[in-house]
Amino acid sequence: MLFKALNRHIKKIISSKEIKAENEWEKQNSCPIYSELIGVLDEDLNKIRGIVGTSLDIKVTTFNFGENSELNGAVIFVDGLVNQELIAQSILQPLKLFKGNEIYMPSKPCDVVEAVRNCVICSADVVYEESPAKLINAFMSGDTVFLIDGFKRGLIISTRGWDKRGVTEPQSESVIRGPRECFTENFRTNTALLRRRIKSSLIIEHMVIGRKSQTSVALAYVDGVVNPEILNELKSQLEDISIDALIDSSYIQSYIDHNPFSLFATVNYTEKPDVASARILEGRIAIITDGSPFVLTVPMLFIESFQTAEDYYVRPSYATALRILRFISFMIAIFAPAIYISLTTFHQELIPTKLLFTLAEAKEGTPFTAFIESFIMVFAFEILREAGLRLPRPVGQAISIVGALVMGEAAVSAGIVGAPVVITVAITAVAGFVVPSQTDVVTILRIISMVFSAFLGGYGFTLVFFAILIDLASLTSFGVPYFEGLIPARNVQDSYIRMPIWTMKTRPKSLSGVDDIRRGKTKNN
Amino acid sequence: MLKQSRTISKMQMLFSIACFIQASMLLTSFFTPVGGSSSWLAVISSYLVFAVFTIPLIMLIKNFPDKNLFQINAIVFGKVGGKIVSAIYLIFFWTLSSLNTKDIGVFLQQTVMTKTPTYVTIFFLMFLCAWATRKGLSVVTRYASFFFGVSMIIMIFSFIFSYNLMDFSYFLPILDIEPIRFIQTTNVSLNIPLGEIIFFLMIHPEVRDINKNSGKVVYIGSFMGMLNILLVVIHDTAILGEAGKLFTIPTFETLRMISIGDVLSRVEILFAIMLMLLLFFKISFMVYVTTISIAEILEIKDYRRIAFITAALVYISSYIQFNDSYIHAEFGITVAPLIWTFIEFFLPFLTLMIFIVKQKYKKGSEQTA
Repeated sequence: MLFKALNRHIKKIISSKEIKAENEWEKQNSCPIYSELIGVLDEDLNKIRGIVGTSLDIKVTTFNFGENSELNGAVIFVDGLVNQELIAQSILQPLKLFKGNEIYMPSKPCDVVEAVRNCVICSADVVYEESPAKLINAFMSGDTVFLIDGFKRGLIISTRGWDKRGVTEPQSESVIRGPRECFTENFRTNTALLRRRIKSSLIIEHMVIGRKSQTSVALAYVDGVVNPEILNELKSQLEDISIDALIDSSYIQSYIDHNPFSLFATVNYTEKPDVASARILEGRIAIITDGSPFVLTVPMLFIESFQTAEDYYVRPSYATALRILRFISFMIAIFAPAIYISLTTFHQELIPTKLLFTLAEAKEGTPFTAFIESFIMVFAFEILREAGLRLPRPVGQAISIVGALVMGEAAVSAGIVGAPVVITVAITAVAGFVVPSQTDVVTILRIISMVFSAFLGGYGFTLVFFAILIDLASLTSFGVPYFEGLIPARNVQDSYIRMPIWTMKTRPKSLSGVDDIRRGKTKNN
Repeated sequence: MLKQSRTISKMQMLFSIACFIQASMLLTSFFTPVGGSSSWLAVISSYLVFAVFTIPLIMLIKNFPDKNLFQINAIVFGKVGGKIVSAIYLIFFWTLSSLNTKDIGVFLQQTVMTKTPTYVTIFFLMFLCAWATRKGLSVVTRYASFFFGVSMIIMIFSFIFSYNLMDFSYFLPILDIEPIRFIQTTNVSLNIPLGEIIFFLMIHPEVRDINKNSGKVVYIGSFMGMLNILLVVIHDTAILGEAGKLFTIPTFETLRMISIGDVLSRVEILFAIMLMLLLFFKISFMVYVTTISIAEILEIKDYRRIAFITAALVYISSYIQFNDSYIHAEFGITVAPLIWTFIEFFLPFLTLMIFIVKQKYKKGSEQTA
């Protein structure tokens, strides 16, 4: 109730601010320069300079061309975003050689732009544009704009060529077997990586989000396979995003996540094109954001956290065993310290006698309760983990080793904590990394279950388990129940277990649209 | 924003029925002292009787697929009569909710949380039940299949682990019981776990296409639940024999005896976990039904507003009921089966009969007109 009221209040404030921002944006848009080009080169260039400012990297080069150099032209581009060699070879050099005898007729001045486009510019991607706003957006995105004096339209020539990271191996989704390509920060590379895998029916829709950043965002889906209701809902939500800059795909995630106060994310992400393609082929939609190597996919099901790309590249029996292992690890990562606390504090009778003596011996002399001991160790582990992640890799590894070995050993020797706690927390920590996409959730739930166990023993962590179940069961991602696929259902062949690929004949019913036949005979044949 | 469908599938209902009946395995002590070694036969016969007695319930579902029990009452008994009959059901739902809440409280105090007062343990559980109720039926019933699966696995493992403790001669001689006591055992088994599925008549309009195969859903679901209770009764009788009468939770005692190579002992915790899962489901479902029942009678449009109030009422009433578990068991053996029969089977049968007569009278008057 309190959360809802708070949420309502926050939304109210945000929406009023959004309206203000929208109004400002409209004001900018209604500026006369945005309406159309004047047709006088100097004036048009001055107006453009007025809007974009006198930035060092924006290059405006004017020159004369034509048989008697009677035509004035200008190319505008952003240094660093373009391939200058390409500009020289495909725009400037042909223009210098252009005589125009055959096609230039003063009585038909409009033809010059067309003639230049058709007969002079050596590029496959050249478009006319009259809107100054779009022309500005084009050269800001790495294209080159070519204006000719006396004409109210310009040409946008594709000359994008900035320095970019190559397609490397993924950092967070490593595989032993299977494709090793990973998305990059480059928008076009990412769309191409998907296109290479799905050649037929893949639709890539483009949109721009961010008033100042003007970030390119693409929706990738397979026509017929995608659920149109989900697609329309996603489109309308993306269109509603009012933000000044979109730095990373996670910004979009926070806008389209319907359950902001839940611990579990309902929007998934991947950096592997093969994973994104497989999800698209199940009826999901991928959201590619320029500048982000992580592609978002919606709707998300909880079961996805336990599925990896490699599951489909290894034998089904092994993949099934791994999935079950991941489920067990997930439970260990959340509940192991809580179970330790409740066993040693409340239910000692459940511990086998020999083990009980060993535990008692190890615990002897330590000043704190099991809860405090566990809390200290979990807290120390989280500090080490955070330090290890943020520091440069060689230093981070050293910190992790020092922390894990030296500090753990020292803490036990000094009698601050017992050895069983160190073992429990170590197992918990390792288990937490088995399901990487849920690491953040696991950390929080681990602490909550520890607190409840400290007060109510085994019953306490059972209550936490129930609360997690209620939360999971009530979550939806774009109208699709988050729990779908986890409870026994029709698509059981790809849930806890992974059956051979030929048994997965249909796509998940809740995700897919009309074309739900994945293998075997389709409805058409 | 796209919203989750509020309706549930027939499969969800089927597992919910199974889980709901299965959760009553804590209450086998209500009839095993009477039935003794023939209790397992009484469980089977109770299912056969149930198969016949449930026909009116299924026919009501088929005739009123989009009306819940209270709405059916209003149609059949009229506005005032319907309210009175619905009020009886409401009291029944509320009483059963609080009795089950009391049961889990007592169970926890006897087994897991011996030093913690029941009002503390139940408080958190009721909070979660109210929370689940607020989230809706699809949430309450979503994990039924998961709970059913887990409890079946635990039950099968318990059976395997305790096989060496079983003595099947305890079942002999078969049916060495007075007929009246056998009927009493059958009656308790019929009313307490099986007949309680009357709760589902409050939610069937929220099940997709319930008018098709509703009988199948009810029978298969109840059979799955009954099978688990039968396994528990056979397990307890085979291990404890006549001594089973001495314990309030015989299964818990049998599992305490399991010890595998001095490594795996005290596996009764598995049974405790299983019971907690099942009772959590059952109480959540009961609180949900009680909440929508109150909302229906008081004509409250959004039942979610009163979810926490209903849970609080159930919590308070559970606290004041049966402070002695033996008195509770005695009530379960002697009084409850008689009252419950009236509410669980006779009232629906009466409702159906009146509806049929009314329909015939209506048709006859239409023909004469």
